[in-house]
Formats: sequence, C-alpha cells, structure tokens
Amino acid sequence: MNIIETHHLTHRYWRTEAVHDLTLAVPQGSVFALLGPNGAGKTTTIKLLMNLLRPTGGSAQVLGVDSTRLGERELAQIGYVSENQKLPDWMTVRQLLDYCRPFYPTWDPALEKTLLGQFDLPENRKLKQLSRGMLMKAALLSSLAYRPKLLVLDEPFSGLDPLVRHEFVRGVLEVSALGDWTVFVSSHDVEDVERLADHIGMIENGRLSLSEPAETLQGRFRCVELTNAPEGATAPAGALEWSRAGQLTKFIATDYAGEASERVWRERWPGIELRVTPLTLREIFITLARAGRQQSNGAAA
Amino acid sequence: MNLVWHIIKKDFTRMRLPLLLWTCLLLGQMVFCERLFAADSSLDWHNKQGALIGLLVFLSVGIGYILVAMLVLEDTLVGTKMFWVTRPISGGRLLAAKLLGVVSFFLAWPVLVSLPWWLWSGLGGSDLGQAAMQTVLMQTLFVVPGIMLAAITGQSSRFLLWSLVVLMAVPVGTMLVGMNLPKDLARQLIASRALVAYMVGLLTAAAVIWLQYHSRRLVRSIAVTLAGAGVALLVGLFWPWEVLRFWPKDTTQMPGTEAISFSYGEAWIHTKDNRGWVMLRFEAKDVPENLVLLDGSIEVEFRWSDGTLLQRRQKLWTNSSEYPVRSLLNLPPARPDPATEEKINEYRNAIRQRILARGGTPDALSETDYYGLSSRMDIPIEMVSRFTASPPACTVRLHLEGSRPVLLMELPLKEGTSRTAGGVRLRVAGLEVAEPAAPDRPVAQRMLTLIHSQPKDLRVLKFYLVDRVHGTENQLGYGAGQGLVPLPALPLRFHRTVLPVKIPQLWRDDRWIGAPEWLEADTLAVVGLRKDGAFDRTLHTDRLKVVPRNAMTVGSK
Repeated sequence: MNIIETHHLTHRYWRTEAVHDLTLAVPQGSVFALLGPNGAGKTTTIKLLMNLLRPTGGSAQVLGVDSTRLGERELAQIGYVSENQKLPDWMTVRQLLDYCRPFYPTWDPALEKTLLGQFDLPENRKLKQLSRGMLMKAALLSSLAYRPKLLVLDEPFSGLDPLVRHEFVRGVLEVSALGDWTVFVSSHDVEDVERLADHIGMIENGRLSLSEPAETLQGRFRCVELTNAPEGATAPAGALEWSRAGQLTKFIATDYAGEASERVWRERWPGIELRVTPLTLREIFITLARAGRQQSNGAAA
Repeated sequence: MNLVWHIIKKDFTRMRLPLLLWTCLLLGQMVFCERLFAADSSLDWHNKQGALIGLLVFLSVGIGYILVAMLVLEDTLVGTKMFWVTRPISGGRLLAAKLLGVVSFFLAWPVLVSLPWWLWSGLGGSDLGQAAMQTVLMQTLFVVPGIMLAAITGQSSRFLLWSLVVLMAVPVGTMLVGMNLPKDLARQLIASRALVAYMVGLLTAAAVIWLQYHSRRLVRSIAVTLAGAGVALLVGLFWPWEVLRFWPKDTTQMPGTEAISFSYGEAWIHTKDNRGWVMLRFEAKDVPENLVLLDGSIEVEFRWSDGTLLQRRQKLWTNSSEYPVRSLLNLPPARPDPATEEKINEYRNAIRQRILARGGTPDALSETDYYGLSSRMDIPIEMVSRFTASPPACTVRLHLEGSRPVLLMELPLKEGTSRTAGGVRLRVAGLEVAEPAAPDRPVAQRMLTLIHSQPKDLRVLKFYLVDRVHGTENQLGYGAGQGLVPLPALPLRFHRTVLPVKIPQLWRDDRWIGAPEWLEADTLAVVGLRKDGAFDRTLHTDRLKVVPRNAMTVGSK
C-alpha cells in the first residue's frame, strides 16, 4: 500500500513550471528521500502534498485522500517539519508542546518526555531564542510525539552544523524504528539521507528523473573501467560519463545486472580487462545531476 | 468546541499584554469622564478634558483595530509558511476560534469593563442594554474591516499599508459618489444608497473572511473584495429604490392618541438657487396632558386634476409648546403674588391688543395642548408655479412618536450639588452672577452651569426652576448643551449646559425687585422625555392652501 501517490502532478507559478507531470509512489513503512539540487521542485512538491499549494494539474493522494482535501483526521496522522515553516516563535518549547498536544488523540506523553531529553531542548526558552538546530529539533519533537503514520521533512538538515545534523538523523532513525512509520524527506545533499533512505526519488527542473528502492538503485549503478578497449569503441546503451584516457576507458553503467552485463561487455570488446566498482548514493546523485544538466543544456542549445 | 477554546486560550496568552494596554485606554476614558464632574467649572478646563477623552477614544479605536488584525495574523491565511495548516486544525475551526476570540476580546470585554461605570452613572435596565448595544456596534465598525484586511494581507506591514489605502480610498470614493449625485436627489434615496452600500460592504467582508478561512485562495478573495467595492460604488451612484421606506414600522396605535385632532395649515412655497421647496404645516389639538409629541415622518402625495402625481417622504418636525409639568412635579396649587400677577396680566393684555391691532391672532402656542407640525420637502423648480397657480390635492400619512415626561431628579440649586438618577448624572458646576442689576434691568441674572450625562433613550432634557412655596415652575431651558466629547464613541453622552437663570421678580412699589431668599427656597428639577409609542394618522385635503413664502414680509410671520 502506498502512503503517498502522485499522478501527473504539476504546479506552475505564473509562467514558471515548478513541478511537471510528477508521478511517484511512496510505499508504507519506507523512508523515501526526494533528492535534487536547489530549485529542482522538492519544496513545491512537498507543499502540494501538504495542501499548502494547490496543483495546477494532476493530483496527489496522501494517506488515501486527495491532498486538496486533507482534513483534521489525516493531518492528525502526519508530521511536518520544514525549514520554511513559521513556528509561533513567541511560545516557549513547553508552550508549543502544550498547544499541540490536544489536537492529537495519539499524543504520547512518554515519547514526548523521552524525545525532550534526547534532543536536549530547554523547555522554558522561547522559540525565537533558539538556535536554528534547536528550532528544527523542537519542530521535529512536536511532529513526532503523536507517532504520525507519515513524517514529512522538507530540507530539515540545511543550515545545521554536523553535530546537530547527526543528532537529528539519529532522532529520526530511532523513532522510525519504533513503529511502522513512513518518512518522506527532501534534501539537496544526499549525504544527509544516505543513512536514512530506503527509497530514492530524484527530481530536476521539476521533473522526476528516477524513483526506486535505494538497494535497486545502488545495484544497477556501477563504475566500469576498461583497459585495452579497442580504438573507436563507443559507449553502450545506458552508459553515462563515457571517457577515455590512454588505454583506460571509464563509464558509469546505469543498468548493471551482474555477470550478465560483464559477459556482454567482454563479448563487445574482446581482450579487455574489466574492473567494476559499486557507487555510493552520493556518486549516483552527482552522476545523475550532471547528466540532467547536460541534457537540459543540450535541449536549450 | 474544546479545541476552539484551546485556540482562543493560545491567542489570549499571545495578546494579554496588548489587551491590558487597550483595557487601560478604555478605563482611562472612564476616569477622564469622571473628572468632568470635578469641581472646576471653567469652559476651558472642560474642553481640555473633553479633548483628552476624545484622544483616548481615538487611540482605543486605532489600537483595537490593530489588535484585531494581530489576532487574525497570529494564524495567518496568506502564504505557505503558516504553522496551523499542517496541523489538524480545519479552517472552520480556526474561523470559529477567531470569531469567538473577537467577540470575547473586542465586543464582550469592553461591555464588561464598562458595566460597573454605567451602573455607577445611574443607567437602568433598558439604558444598560442600549449602552451595551451601542458599544458593540461601535466596536464592530473597526472589528469587521480589521478581520477582513488581515485575512487577505497576511502580514502586519502589508496590513498597515492597505489600511492606509482603504482609509484614503473610502472618503475619496464617497466624495466621488457625492459629486456625481443629482442635486435634487431625495434624502431618503441617498440614505438608502448609503445603507445598501454599507450592507454590501458587510456582506463582502463576511464572504471574504469565509472564503479565506475555508480555501485560502487569495486571488479569488481579492477579486471578491474588489467586486464588493465596485458594487458598493455602483450602489452609491445608481441604486434606485428607497429601502428605508420598506422597513416595518411601529404601526401599533398608541393608547390615548385617538382624541388628537389634526388639521392642515398653510403650505409655504419658496425658492432659492433655482431650487424649490414646499413646507407643509399642520396643527394638532387635544393632545393628552401627559403625552408629548416628538418628531416623526411624513409620506405625502400631491395630486393634480390632470393626474400628475408627486410623492415625497420626509422628516416631520414638531414645534411644541411647553408641556405641563405641574402634575409631574406634584406642585401645590399656585399662590402667585397678587400685585405681581396683576402687573403680568396687564402686560399680557397689552401684547394681545398690539397683535390684534396688527390684524394678527394672539399666539396660540400658549395653549398647552396645541402642537405645530411642519415638514419641508424639495420639489422640481418647474412645479413651483404650478403649486401656486393650481394647488394640488394632498394626502399625507403622518407617523408620530409619543413620549411621556419623566421627572428624573429635583435637587437644591447650589453649586457643587450632584445627583444620579434615571441614567442621568448631573452636577451643578456653577451659579454665577452674569449680569448685575442695572437701571434698565432692575434684577440681576445668573448663569447656571450644569455638567450632565444623557443616555440615548432620553430624547430631551428640560430644566425647571421650582418654587414649592408659591407652587410655580419656570422652564430654564432645554436641549443637550455643548457636547464635551468630540467623538460619538461613548454610550454615555456628556454635556455642559449653561442656562440663564432669571431671578424670580416681584412687583413692589411700582418697580421690579428680586424675590428675597429665592436661592434657598427654589430647586432645580430635571425632566426627560422617554419614547412611549407611536401612531399613524392620514389626512386629506382636496385643495392645499398654498402661500408663496418668498413674497411674504418678515412682519407677517
């Protein structure tokens, strides 16, 4: 069952199309990371999902309900933390929690207490007096204490120092381990979500370039090095970043299928020495981002 | 409902300090109003106090307007960064919370704060209701636009900017409409247009607020706002129907009015600046002693034999004589001084003879059951000659309000005396000799300065000098005097009334002297008129008696 589904979701700001024909599905219980460079359309997508914006085309379903019809029942099961959200900063951390609590029938005071201690938040300090990291932790706490079915995090790590970032990720990981929670997180930095995500979506220029489980993604991307490849050898289908330096030819395979792929390459270029190494998510993200930019530059030219 | 109160509680926590400041401004008005009744009686001092109260009223309205916006902007409706939208708080619930918050903080709270002061000022049941109603209405004047503008601006800076724009646009729009109105447009129609335009404004505000809380579609809400403003402008320029005339009227016939007889008087026609007017005049007789006719309204149909019809609806003014207050004051039979009475009758007879010699009739207004009624209405300039050449048949429907005089208080005529009764607070602030005795004015005159409040339902206040020893009463004056607070925001009106007090005179040894010890013996009685009911009467004449007023000499009046 999918917690989030979008179908040809589109949003325009006057003449600029921020999200174009976005179709994706987020399975229940997954940690889905929506990655993309700044301005790719991640925040707009999340705002569409949270009914902060209305789609100009297509539709989105969240917890089985059209996003434009999200009501109190659905929102009581969704936690939302965003760098863009304006919290009532005149409140203290305690006042924020006291204010939020009655709206959620599933609010867990024990979990609230645990998280409060874990995040090391000063209860009686006003939100406007908190550092950015503390503020995000307070927002996260107020979104986790009712054990939401879906946790939506919009660029939660940006501007946080490494220590706070680490604590934040740890917090999300720990609570997601507590139950069958679905997490939808957007980031422009893959490193932030590498430890978290089991599903990856990549968005660029408002278009979704891929969406699949992280394991599958990492399984099909390989860095391939060929030694002694014949002169005039050309890149196979699906290869990215084809380059040749002396006897060494390099490319990124995007559809690696284990020994079957290696057998095909050896048959194509007899006598080669083949070295295949897996890619980190970060490397895959950079490869795809670079390819996407080249593609859009080519289209523009 | 619990969650609604939870949101209100949050808003109160947020706004408690500004609300405290605002409450101080409300209390400040009361403190300064109390100071009006302090010992100093100089006009300058009272004017300064009045100006201070006016300033406090102005500040409380301005700050109240900003606080209303603050309440709405606390959970803003514009943008995508608001906190509440991503929490299980529906637009309907938030709207309910904000409306209840507004009602609690800006409508109920000022009434509650003022209540002890109103009670202290002597307001009774119905007066209290009226004061509360007036307070709520006054608050609504800034609350509604405050909510609406805050709902579509979303930020305090933008709210203030657009408030300034609206503050300038409303008078400019009103002026534009005023400049484009035909000069001969009936007042009722102008009032109807103003009322309908106001209702359009209210409906637009309600629609915009509802739309914003339910869908947060700003472009649509702004479109509705602009459409509402456009419709209000069009109503001001072109609305053709007199809606005021369709209002249900109090047609219950007031008991005791059946015996009153009405008759047509002369109708005066006059012109000025290429405009024509007709003033209809009537006489009412046999008015019961304990009834006072107050102003009302009149619907008129002028009809000529060729079928031409002219209809008008206007205010009807009454020009009453003094109403009898002897029974109200429970005065013993008058025991006038014989020599003085004889001298006065001598004067009266001389005046009557002079009037008769001029061909006039002695002033009928001295009869206490007589009323003169009049109403002036515009007519097309080309109809003026027709009115005089062939006077039309005329049918009128008079709608009159009846009031009962009420003795509110009677107090010693001494400086510093004060009394509170029937919703009126009064202090005798001064009783100074204004004009000393002189050869042509053998008896000195004094000026009585009164500081008093006047609740809304008291139409007129009259002041009497009462001599219980001789069973006489003399009206010193009536009316509201000088308003001491420049803004009509307070439900209690405060006035400074200065009345000349002619010292009672006696005729002794062929000269007038001031009655000895009058100041110790006489009292000041305050009588008010309270509306008691209304009644209608229809009159018809086949031929109106028309007199061209412009041609009349002043002496023939």
